[in-house]
Parts: sequence; C-alpha cells; structure tokens
Amino acid sequence: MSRMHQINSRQLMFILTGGQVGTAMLALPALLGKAAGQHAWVCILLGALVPLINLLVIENLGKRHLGSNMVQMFQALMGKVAGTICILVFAFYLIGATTVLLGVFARLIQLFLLPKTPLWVVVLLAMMCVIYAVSKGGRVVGRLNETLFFGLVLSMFFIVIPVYYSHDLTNLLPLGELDVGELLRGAFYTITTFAGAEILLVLYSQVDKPEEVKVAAMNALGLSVATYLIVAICCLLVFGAERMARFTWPGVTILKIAHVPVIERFEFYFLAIWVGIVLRRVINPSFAAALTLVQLFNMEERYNLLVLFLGVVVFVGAQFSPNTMGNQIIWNYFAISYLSIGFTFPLVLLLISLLRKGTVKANAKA
Amino acid sequence: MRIIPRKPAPSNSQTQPKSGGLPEDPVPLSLKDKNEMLSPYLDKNEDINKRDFTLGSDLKISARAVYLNQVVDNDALYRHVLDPLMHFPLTVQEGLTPALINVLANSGPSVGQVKTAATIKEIVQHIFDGLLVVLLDGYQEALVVDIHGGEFRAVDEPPGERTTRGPREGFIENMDINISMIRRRLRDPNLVVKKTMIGRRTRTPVAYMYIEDIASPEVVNNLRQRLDAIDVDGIVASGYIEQYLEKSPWSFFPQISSSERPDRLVAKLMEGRVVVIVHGTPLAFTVPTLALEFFQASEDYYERTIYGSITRFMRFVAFFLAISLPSIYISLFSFHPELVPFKLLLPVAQARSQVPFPVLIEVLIQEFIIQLTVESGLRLPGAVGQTVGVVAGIILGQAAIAAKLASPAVIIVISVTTIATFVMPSSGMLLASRILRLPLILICGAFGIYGFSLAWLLIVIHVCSLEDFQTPYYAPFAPIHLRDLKDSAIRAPLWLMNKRPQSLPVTNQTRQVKTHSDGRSDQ
Repeated sequence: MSRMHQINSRQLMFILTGGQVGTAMLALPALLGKAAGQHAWVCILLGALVPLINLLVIENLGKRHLGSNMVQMFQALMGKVAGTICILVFAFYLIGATTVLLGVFARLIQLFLLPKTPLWVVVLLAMMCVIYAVSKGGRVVGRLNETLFFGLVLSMFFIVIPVYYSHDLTNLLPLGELDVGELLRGAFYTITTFAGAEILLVLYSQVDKPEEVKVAAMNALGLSVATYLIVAICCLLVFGAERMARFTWPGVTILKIAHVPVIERFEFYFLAIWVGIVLRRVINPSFAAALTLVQLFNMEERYNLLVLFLGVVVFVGAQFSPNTMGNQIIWNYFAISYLSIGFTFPLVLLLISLLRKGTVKANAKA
Repeated sequence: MRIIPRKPAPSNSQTQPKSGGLPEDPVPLSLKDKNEMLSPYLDKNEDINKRDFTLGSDLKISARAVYLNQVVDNDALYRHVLDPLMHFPLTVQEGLTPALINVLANSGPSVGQVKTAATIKEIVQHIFDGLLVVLLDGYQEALVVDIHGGEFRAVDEPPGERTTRGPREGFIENMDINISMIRRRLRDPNLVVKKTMIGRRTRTPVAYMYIEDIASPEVVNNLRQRLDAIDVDGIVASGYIEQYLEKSPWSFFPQISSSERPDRLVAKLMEGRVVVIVHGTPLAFTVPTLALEFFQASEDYYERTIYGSITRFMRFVAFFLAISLPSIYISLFSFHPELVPFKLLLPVAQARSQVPFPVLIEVLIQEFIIQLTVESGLRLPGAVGQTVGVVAGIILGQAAIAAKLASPAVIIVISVTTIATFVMPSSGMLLASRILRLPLILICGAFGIYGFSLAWLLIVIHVCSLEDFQTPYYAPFAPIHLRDLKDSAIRAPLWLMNKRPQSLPVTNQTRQVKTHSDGRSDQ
C-alpha cells in the first residue's frame, strides 16, 4: 500500500460521507415532496437500506481479501480478462458520475452566483481544485474531507435556523397515510443521493486498520442519512410537502426565510461553504477512479499525469452535462447506474468469493 | 554595552565542515619554518595579531601567540595564558621532551579549554574560529587555547514576542548563552545538546537540542542528516538553515516555527520537538512544526484559561479576516449586492457612487498603499515609522476620501485587514496572510464568492498536503486528533493537558498525572 494514499478509518468515514452528500441536499426535498409528501423523510430511511447493504457487502468482501487491492480482488475472483473489463467499467462509471455531478454543480453555480460567466470557466475553476486535490493522493483527500466535514456541520446550522423563524409541525402529519408505491418511488430517488458508497471498494485496501472499516462505513452512512433527514425535515417544517415540491432547490430557498440582524440572509455564507462541500462529491470519486486506473495499469509513478488526463476528460464531459439536477432523467440515470454497477458489482464479487473460495486462493498465489 | 564572554562550538573531527581547501600537512618543528608556512594564510589579514614571547623561566623556548583581534579576551590572554607560559617552571634538566607539550596543555594556561593541533589546516581553522594558537619552536604541535571574548549585545526583552506576564529574557546572537538560557530553565539530564558547524567559509556553529526520552529518534536523526547534508559556503543567519530544511520551499506557509523566547522553546522541547540554535541569530527554530504553532503565543499559557482561549480564538478570526476581508467586500459589492443588508448597502453604495474606479481597483489601490506603508514603517526607525503610519493612515485616508479616490468603506475594510494581519504572533504567518490576500482579491474580483470558496479550498488542500518530519502540518485539524483540540482554537486549562500533543511523534506521551483543582492527583 502506497503511503501517499494511506488513510485512517476516520478519514474513510468522512470520505464516504463526502461522497454521498452534495448537490442532492438542495434538490432532494423537492423530489421527495412530490413523490411521498409529508413522508419524505421516511423515503430517506428506506433508501438508506441500499447503501447499507452495499457497504456491508463491500466490507465483507474486503475482509475476505485482506491485503489485496480492488484490481487484485477483481482479477482473482473473475479472472484476468473479465476482471479487467469489470474494473474498467467501474472506473468509467465513477468518471461518468463525476462528470455529470460536476456539470450539475457548474450549472448551479451559474444559476445562483455567476449567471454571466461561461460554463466552461466555472467547470475549469472547479476542475483545477479537483485535480490539485486528487494529485496529492489519498492522504490529502482524507484530510481535506475531515476539514470540509466541519463545513457540512456549519451549513446544516444555516439550514436549521430558518425553522426557528417559520415552522408548522402539522406539516409532518398525518403520518399514518403511507402509500407503499409513493414511498418506494421516493426511496428510489434517495438511492441516487447515496451513490458514492461504492468507492469503499477502492478505498478498503488503503485503510490502515481494516478492522475499523465496518464501524467507519456505518458511521459515514449515519452521517449522510442524518444530513438528508435534517434538510428534508427542515424543508417540510418550513414549507410543507406541497410547497416544497414546487421549488427546484428548496435547500437554498429555505435560507431566504431567516432574516438575522446584521447578517440578514444566510445564502452568502451557505453558498461559500457549500461549494467546498459539493466539490468533495467530485473529488472523492475522481480520486477513486484515478486510484483504480493506477492500480490496473500499474502506473504509480505516472499518477499525476493520469490525474491530469482524467481531469481533462471530466472537464470536456462536463460541458455536455444536462441542464439541472431537478431533471428526473438524471436522477433515474444515477439510480440505475449505481444499482447496476456500484451496488451489483460488489454483490457479484462477494457471491463469487463465497462460491470459489479455494480457486481464489490459488489465483491469488499465482 | 556589557561584555559577555563567549565560547566557540567544539571543533573535534565530528563537527568539522567539508574541506575548505586547506592542506592537511603537518607543520615543521622550527618556529621560523612554521611562520613561513602559515604566512600565506595569515599575513594578508591585518586583524590577526602575532605576539612573540619566550616560554619558560629557565629553559627558554621561542614561541608565538596568534589570534584574531577583538575576538579573544585580552584580559585572559595576558593573565591566564601568556603570563603562566612565560613563567612556566621549565628547567634545563627536563629538556625538550616530546611530552612537554602535554605538560604545557595541562599545567600552562589557567583557562577552560586547552588542546593541541598539528596540521596547517587545524591551526589556520582554529585561528579563524577565534581561538588562540601558541606556536612553539622545536615542537610540531601547537597549543590551542579557548579564550573567546569580545563584545556582545546584552540579554534583553525580545522585541517581537513581548508578553505582559512572562519572562523578559530573549535570545541574543551568542549561541552558547542561548543554550544556557534554555539549560537554566530545563534542568533535565535528558536534555541533549549536540553541536555542529555549517558553512565551509563561515563555519557557523549550530546546536540542536532535544529531550532524549521524549523526542522521536527518527525526527532527531532526520534533522541531523539534513543538517549534515547542507554543503554551502556560508550560513549567515538561522533563516538560511530554515530554508534548506523546508520541504515545500514554494509554499506560502512557513513550515518552521521560530522564537526569540527561551521559555517558549522550553515548552516546545517538553512537547517533544527539537530546537535548533544558530550562532549569530537571536532566535531559535523548532521541528517538527504545526500550522497551529503560528497562532500560539507564550502569553496564552501564562494568562488564565478563559483569557488565553479568547485571544487564541481571536487570532484565528484575525487570520481569516486578514486574508479574506477585502475579497469578501469585493464579492459582495461587485457580484452579490442583493446579499448585503439593505441598510448597509445604501450608505456604501451612496459613497461609492462618486468613486470613479470599480470596487476591485479601489481595493487594489488602497491595498498597495497600505502595503507600502507597512513596509516603510518596518524599515524605518521607531519614531519615524510611527509617523509614516499616522500620515498614511489618517491623512492619506482622509485625503483619498475627500478627493473621491476611495470610499470610506474601503478605507475601513483595508484598515481592519491590516490590523488583523498584525494580530498574528508569528512573523511567518503574518507574511503568509499578507501575500495570500492579493490572489484572493484578484480571484474574487473575477468570480465573486465562487472564486472566494475555490481559493480557500485550494488553500486548505495545500495546507493538508504539507507534511515534514513525519508530522502533518495541519494537525490536529486534519488528520483530526481530538485530544490535541484542547490546545488549538481554544486553550484548555493546563491541568487538563495530561498528554503531550498526539500530532507530534514522541516516545513519551505522558505529561502529567491527572491533577484536580483541589490539589488531589490520580497517581
């Protein structure tokens, strides 16, 4: 394991949280409000079951292949050719997800902060930060996530304050009228927001104490769920399900409610912090993709070159990203790709690992 | 000026610098031949004194004392070296035995350190190191006597790190006195002092100190290797060595912390750091260094916890303001005026309406003026510097507003920024904040709050990436060491700091047994 990419379990926790919490925290309440009304927050809990299973599967898989990185694991379990193809698919999935997220982020920045600045400039600036962070390796990405987590806590503080000014507890009621179909639809959207858990597959081998991975992963999921719950419940309390569903970005709109003396409105402070929070969502999968490809092609010495190359690819790709995160097609694309690759790949690997225990050992020795 | 005796660094074989091009030939027996041989190295310097005399009261041996003017202690030279040697009870019966030189070394000069030297290189180097060399006729070896003296600045209050409650003693330019100031405060037999010399020509004595059973051996070895690797002709001040040791020389952030205060360095030694003292510089630096150290001042620990914590926290806020305030102002008034409270926006906009420049240019002009003022104030003598400050601050500011070249808001923003800059107790971080401010202004001038966030993100990424002597620079914030947060943005009571900082590599973590305020201890 390269010391450059070595992380501790606490950093893993923050990386996983950072990989799950991003632009969705602003848009999700609207989609959930549309799908499940006042039960929006139940959808988040339901949706969290998928990443929960995903994390447990990956943790189990990693425990069975201690000392092997993701590439070695794939190739040992699936054979060299099939394993390599799957790794490439996984890496492209991560790059694709990063590209779309960056594009969405850039459009959001245009919408809220820089309406006259060309998209490519916004993307280029963000990409410079991403490339710089990823080029420094896993250790720095881990430390960055630790630091930015405090930003997330602070931003939650901004979202909670408007509740003090305007709230209606009846907006959360009635609770009993649950429609399973609505709930499942909402949960499906929520799954999208939790995409990012799968990078544990890449990071597992980089953690200095593998025995702490399980707790760290569970804590990470807990933090992500708590974040989304806070945003959804605050928006519900302030707007109610119907009004919440009408906004595209209720996570930002809620900030307009509070008028604090001197500061007046929180948007400035929130958006300043939020940029860092969202870029974690781009930095973390980018790092995972870079690490995967470095391990696959055994090009540790050209890591920075690879990061630069990936940066260019993502930069170009982000120009063609769809218009807003509010677009349901994007949410569907995310959910399907996460379920079919991020969720399914580790599950299949675990099944193969269970079935081919003896063969795997022989492959690993070879 | 007080006269303080000074001592040189040892010049044994381990501490010799890389060859300075002097021949290692042995010197001849005859004094005349010795003089001729040494003449090319000594005669061209008019500050080298040569005093011929006769050694012994009965059997007379011709001898010559060679020394640098005003570097040796004249009183010691005459009373404790020349006088005893001239009247040394040397009889004809004893004759010129080979053992005489050892007898002279042991019983001749009545001063601390006397040794012998036999090669041209050794003799010449000793002379230029400020030692007295006594050449004897008929003996190959010369006596080398350490009677360093001369004038030095007296120990005084450190100008850059004044405290109201702490000791008033600061380092001076003499390395040995600086070491003794630490020794007097830290009487631990495990405090190790190692000396070396760096600089082929300057032969600057350098000492590094550490507490053997606390400091990490890897850090000490790493430092030793890196000091030994410095092969340069001259080290004029400790800043030279700091630059050779810094792992990321292009970083905006200082990576080696220094102090003028022995009390502060004692505290750092006890945290497991290694202190480096360079002869000729009235400050010492320590490794490994954390970013946090640049926000800490001795006073934080001497004052009560609540005051120490508030002032510490204020420094963090001041650092943020010093870098960000002008850029936040630009972002708000150039890009997002809708986010400014209306009652504030109105008067600012009114005042700005008569200024012909955009906000960015207005800020840049004022920033440039203030940087000039700060620079000139730093270089000028005290009273003149203050006058320049007043002229720039009050008169120039008022004139700029009257001439409608700047709005009052910009003057306030730049003034607050400048004051915030000088809240920092360390000059290294102070300079970093002054430099970082400019790129932030420019990027916010172009991209508003988005640029501001990205610039800060880049700063955080960069700080996270700095690491040296096995120590992450940004610890205990990243990687998070919860225990160390007790002494970070706030300063917890001293009796709660039972362990040494986790962020530093140390071999002994325990600082104290848990002590309660009523005097009980969990021993």
